[in-house]
Amino acid sequence: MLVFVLFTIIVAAGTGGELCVSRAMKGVGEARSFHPAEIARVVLRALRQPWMWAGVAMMASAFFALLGALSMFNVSFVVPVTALSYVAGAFGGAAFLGERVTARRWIGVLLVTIGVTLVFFGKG
Amino acid sequence: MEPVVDKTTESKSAAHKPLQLKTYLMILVMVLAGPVGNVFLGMGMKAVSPIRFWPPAELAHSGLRVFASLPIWLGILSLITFFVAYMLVLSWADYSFVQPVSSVAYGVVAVLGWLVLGERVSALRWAGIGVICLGVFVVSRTGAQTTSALNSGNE
Repeated sequence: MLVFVLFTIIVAAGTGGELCVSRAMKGVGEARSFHPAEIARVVLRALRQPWMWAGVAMMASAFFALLGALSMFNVSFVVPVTALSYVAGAFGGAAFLGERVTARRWIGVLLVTIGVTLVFFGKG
Repeated sequence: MEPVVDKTTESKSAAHKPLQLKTYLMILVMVLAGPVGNVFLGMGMKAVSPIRFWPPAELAHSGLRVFASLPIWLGILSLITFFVAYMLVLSWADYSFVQPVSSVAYGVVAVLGWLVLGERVSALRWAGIGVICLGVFVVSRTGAQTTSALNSGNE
């Protein structure tokens, strides 16, 4: 039971966090060089975006759930299972953002699900 | 390294420019730092387990042990490196490009788990990881955008 709770938090909060961060970065614009001052400028601008904070909070929750899962299972099991975020992304995009998910994308999502199932049952 | 100034930064939506070396370099940092971070976290958490989630005093005690562990901090450092690289890459390239390329990390983490932590990865699990990467690739080949709402603020 705890396993499913942990993986649900990792996947749901992780995906939500990535979407928020991705959205925040759209508002920040490009980093133009590797110069430390430029990188600092981009990071500081990113931190002024509310979406960034929402994303960071969700990613932090996902991180603690990940630590919990890693205390119980191998990394070669835990990390591939987190690929379920692609499934969550497709359903979330369709349900909450009104995105039209193409047949081809559903096929990809199905493949990811099959892969995770194989990882789940392929105990070493 | 001399900063590479990109003259076409104004029109991010006209993203038909070829990807630059810096992008590939940062993607390499991403797919290495992420798995290395996870392996360190795995190492650290195995050392302090079992974690008790209840009662709260036990959880707090476990939390203290977790954050007193060197591998955990090395893992966090690696993941911060990953995160900075990820932010930079997202500012240079589309999410729909970054997503499939970063799925290589699932393979890298399994290889590291096997080599560094001595985890036994069965043939079925390798196959599963392969199918996951294939699935991510197929997902990425679909149109990046089916709505225009997210980008409307950039125009």
